[in-house]
Amino acid sequence: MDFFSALDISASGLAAERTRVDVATSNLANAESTRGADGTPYKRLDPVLEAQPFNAALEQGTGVKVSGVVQDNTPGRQVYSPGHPDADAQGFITLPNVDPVHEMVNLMSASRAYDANASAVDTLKGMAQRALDIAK
Amino acid sequence: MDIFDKTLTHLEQALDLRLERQGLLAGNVANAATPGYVPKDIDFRSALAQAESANNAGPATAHATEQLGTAPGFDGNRVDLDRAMVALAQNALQYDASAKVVQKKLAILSYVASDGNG
Repeated sequence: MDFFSALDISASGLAAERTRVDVATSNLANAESTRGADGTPYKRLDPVLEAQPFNAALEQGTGVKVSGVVQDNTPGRQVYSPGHPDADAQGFITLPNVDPVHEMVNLMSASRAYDANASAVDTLKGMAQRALDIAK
Repeated sequence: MDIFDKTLTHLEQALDLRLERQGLLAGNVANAATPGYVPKDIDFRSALAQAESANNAGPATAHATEQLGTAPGFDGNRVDLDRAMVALAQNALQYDASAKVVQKKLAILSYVASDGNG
């Protein structure tokens, strides 16, 4: 393990948490979108995180990567709104399956985890500085 | 007593292992939300003893073991972010302490080398 591999590990954590924030905000922004790209209501997305061992034989640290973003296909809530352009024959519209509370919790947890990774980077930079100070 | 005794070598090994551990702990923090992830750590004391007896050239390394201490969350993740952050800070402080000792050790050598006028 050298300083830069350890920094790479924390960087992978920062990138993954940022993706979680991106996905949660996109879900929140589309909480009422009754029409997606294919004309059906928006379906909420979920990032899939995967531990990624560093490949070099001696380095045992484990980074993280977002291996994909999957669609959550649970059905959305139906609301009676006959005047709506997307209403069906019975006057119901299907809202996205987004639960704002759930997304806010995801958002906060991702943001805290982002902070934790940023603080790990800071700590590591401090250690590198101490190592450089040896030569002072 | 040799002026270049084993102290610096031991401190070097300690710094290597502390850095190794820091990388593992950073990996635990990075995987705080990864389903099924089990945090990893090294036992610093036994790793240092092993490095000292092995007397290998090159940086000291240690084998990481999975830490099953914390109960898994509903997604099987066993990282306790609070503990992980504390371990991270603690390990960094201990790294700093070892680095400081190296610095002092070299300062002593430099003082001696300059006939006590350093």
